Amino acid sequence: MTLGIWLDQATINIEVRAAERIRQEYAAHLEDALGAGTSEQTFVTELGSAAAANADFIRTYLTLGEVSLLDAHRGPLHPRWLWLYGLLSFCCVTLALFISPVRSLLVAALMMAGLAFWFWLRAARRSGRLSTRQAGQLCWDAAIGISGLGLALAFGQISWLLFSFTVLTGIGVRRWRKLRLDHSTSDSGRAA
Amino acid sequence: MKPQEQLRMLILAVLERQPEHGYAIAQAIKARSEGLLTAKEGTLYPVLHALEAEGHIASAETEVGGRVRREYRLTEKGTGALARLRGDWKKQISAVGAVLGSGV
Repeated sequence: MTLGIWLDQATINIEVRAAERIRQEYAAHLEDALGAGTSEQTFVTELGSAAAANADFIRTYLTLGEVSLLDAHRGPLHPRWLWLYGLLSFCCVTLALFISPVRSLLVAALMMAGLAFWFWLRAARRSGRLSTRQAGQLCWDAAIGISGLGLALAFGQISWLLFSFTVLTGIGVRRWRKLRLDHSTSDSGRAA
Repeated sequence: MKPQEQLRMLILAVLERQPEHGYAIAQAIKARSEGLLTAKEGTLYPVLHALEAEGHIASAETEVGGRVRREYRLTEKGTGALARLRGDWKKQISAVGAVLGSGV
């Protein structure tokens, strides 16, 4: 087996940029090993299981499926969604008003906080503090979290609150970890 | 301590001295352990990348003798993690020593 074949298996379903980085590092390692007198065959044999390496890389890097999902999540940051957010806020506040004016105020405050967060995300993306994927993911997580909290406040449904927090702490946190490296990989410069 | 945890500790310990690239890390582990320990390249890079994702190490591409290499360095968070791992390791060693008795 050659290193190329091993890498093909080790980078299955890994995001393109991350896969490229993995390939470069292994190629550089092989170059050093060849320089030290190791043959490519020995090097590849000592690498071990490509499937196990792939499983480990998938825990660290975004998969192709996650990338397409995240890229689809960029949508909510576009200003065209503001009208929908406004309509949703209006509906939530009106519904809550039927139940209790205090709840209605709380929901309105929550929606305002959500709107402020949305503007902050856009600013953070523009300034480069967050990558587009990070901002999109945060926006998506916040939309789920705020919707859950809004519904919980409006209707006293604690299950919605639990659902939103489960989503945020489960899928969101795991993907956020991967996104941190995705961001640093895309921004890491070349030191002389 | 699981083998992967041990490898994490060894990598952090190597990087504590100075920033290194992947090949040099593997060589340092082998040399310092006088050949007893080897960081298989197949597992070395997944662990390196995971450590970077967790913020324990950081990396940047550098030129070494005309070749481009990704160099890893320990972060402040990584220093703390290494201290914790060293503590865990010492506890395990003393626990095993206590079970084995004075004959070892």
